[in-house]
Amino acid sequence: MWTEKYRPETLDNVINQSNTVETIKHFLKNPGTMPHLLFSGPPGTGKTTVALCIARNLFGGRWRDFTLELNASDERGINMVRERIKSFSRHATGLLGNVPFGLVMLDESDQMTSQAQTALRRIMETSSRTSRFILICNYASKIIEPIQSRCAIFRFSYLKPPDVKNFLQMIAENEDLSFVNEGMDAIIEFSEGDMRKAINILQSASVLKDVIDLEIILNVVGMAKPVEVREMVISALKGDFLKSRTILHDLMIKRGISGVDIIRQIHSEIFHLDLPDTLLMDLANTVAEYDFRIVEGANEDIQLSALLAQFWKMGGGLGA
Amino acid sequence: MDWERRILESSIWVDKYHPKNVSEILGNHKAKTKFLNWLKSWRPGSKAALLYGPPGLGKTTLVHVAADELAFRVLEMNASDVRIKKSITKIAEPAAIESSLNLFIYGGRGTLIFFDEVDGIFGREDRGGTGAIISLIKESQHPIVLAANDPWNPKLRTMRRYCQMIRFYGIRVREIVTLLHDICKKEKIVTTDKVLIQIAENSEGDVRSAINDLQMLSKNRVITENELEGLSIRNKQKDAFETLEQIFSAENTQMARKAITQSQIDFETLLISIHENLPNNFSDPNTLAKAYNVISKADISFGRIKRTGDWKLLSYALEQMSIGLVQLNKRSSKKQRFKFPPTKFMMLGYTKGMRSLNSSICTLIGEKLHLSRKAVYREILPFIKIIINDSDFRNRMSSRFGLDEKMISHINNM
Repeated sequence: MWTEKYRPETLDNVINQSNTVETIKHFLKNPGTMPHLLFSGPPGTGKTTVALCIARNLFGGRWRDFTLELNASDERGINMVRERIKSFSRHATGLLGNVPFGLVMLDESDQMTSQAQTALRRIMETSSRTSRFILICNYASKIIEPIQSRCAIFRFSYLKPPDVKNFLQMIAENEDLSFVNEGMDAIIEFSEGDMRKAINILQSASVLKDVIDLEIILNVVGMAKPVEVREMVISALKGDFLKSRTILHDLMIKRGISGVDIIRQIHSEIFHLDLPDTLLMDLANTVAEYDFRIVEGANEDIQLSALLAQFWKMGGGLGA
Repeated sequence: MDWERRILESSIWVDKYHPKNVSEILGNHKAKTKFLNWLKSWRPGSKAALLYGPPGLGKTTLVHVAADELAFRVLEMNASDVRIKKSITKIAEPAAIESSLNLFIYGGRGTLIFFDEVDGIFGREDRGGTGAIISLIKESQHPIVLAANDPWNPKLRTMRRYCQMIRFYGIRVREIVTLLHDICKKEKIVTTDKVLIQIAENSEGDVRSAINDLQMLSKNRVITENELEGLSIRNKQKDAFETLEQIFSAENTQMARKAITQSQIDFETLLISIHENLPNNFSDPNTLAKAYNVISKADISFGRIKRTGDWKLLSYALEQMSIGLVQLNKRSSKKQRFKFPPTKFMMLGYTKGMRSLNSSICTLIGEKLHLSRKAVYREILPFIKIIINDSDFRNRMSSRFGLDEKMISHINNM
């Protein structure tokens, strides 16, 4: 995939985020001085890329041997994390000249509960002689204070349109793509500063058409957008409760999407529907209430169905 | 033994006439022999024994009296114990592991660990309990016995592999009558054979309930055939359809509550079944929303129970559900057909392969792109679905990510 092919391999090639990059380069001159790092920011802004660049810079071609990549949302519980870090720090230390530590990259660390983070804090302390941590997250505020205070915090911001444009043009030249300006502008608009999304839209469009124009971009964006949640919400509001519950079951059971993820999507979807303000207010309040109930309850399916029933009641006047 | 003392002190006949040795247990000769042989030949590493069959056939009794005869001490855990992994490990493991010491102290073969009513307790949340028992079976220096009414419960599927299955059948009417006859003689009860046969038949092979009925009917020391009419049809557990029907047609809270508490299905399945059948019973949006609110709140109480392991709270959840639904029932009158088991359960079965395929695809891609499975699913797959239309990209991607034909066509069909 192009997102992978064109991922920068050195810090010099990382676009935007120049303050961050400068500071990190400074640390890397003398790796022993590098503290734990906390990268926060929206998706597709280069957090993982910068972390991988650091690994390459420290360990060269053998960086994989000295880097432990973990993803909090994939690991099963903090004990798994602890075990993996323990066995990693046992073998990956002091083997490479002037770098006295191994690197632990923990992605989506804001997905961890605060209890798990407290345990993580302990792990960071006990293994700090042998490991440096790079924690990656979307929201630094979801990371507990004690961890924040042990890290140098870097905030990654959305990429600016000109930066995205330059990068896409570079790819287009390399891949022999021809561009229409409106097509380019549309990618920039839809990707909202998320470089990964921008490149994915570009590659998808290149498959469907030789010239990247506005029409094909709209096409790709439409195709790639999940429509099920939207359909589920609309069916419920219009009174086809059974249909909306069937969609819910498909999402949860066939696709295996968690209830928490579904309710977040419902939340963002209702704001994209053209609804009267008073109704929107009621819906938003109800979503908030049921988001809480999902956490409190035993069964996500029951809670979400109950939410859809509320939607029907509130949206009853919407007609066809 | 305190077992016997309890029997002597008791004026409840079920206790008083409780079998004191293996031969006194009615029927099930095969099961008894099988169990005794298992216990005698048990060595560390052997399978556990799983005794199963309807209630009141002497499963628990057999374990206690057989252990007594063979000089085992019984360490029992009941369904009412909290069976989260921690407590099992805490209570049972030390006993299982220090073996020779017990031999000294109790002067017998050691300890027998007994988990009664194992099918009643493993909800989704304490699946750790099943795992804990299985690892205990593997490591134990002591024989482990499990008893269950329904061994085919899916929650016990893995456990069955580590168990020798011993089945108990209902006791024959003739044998129960003989026992009842003996009891009448000792208690100086005057009655006829016809009455005893009636009681025995009504019990459907459950000795315990037969003895209870006999005691209940013999307050005046004389039981005539007329009094048999007072013999209630025993509260045999209602099947799911009946339960749902009763809940949705209940006229008052007592009726709804009774239907729920007498039900055979566990509370969680019941909650999901009610949820499944709710839209068919409440077709007006306001009522449906209210009904769902009731179910939602009962589910919250149930969530609390599962988190804390405090099953005493269950009565609150039951009340919330029965009171709430009954108030709404009055407004809906039409007769409904019910769906059971819930479609969700069946879907979970046939979509399992699909979900695990999803997850392996996302794992493979996530490893290369440094993304979590969730992020791949949400942000990357929609684009990959488009990109693999190009045969060149498709080939490169499948070799880069290690996706096979099946996975590619799965992505295509998403």
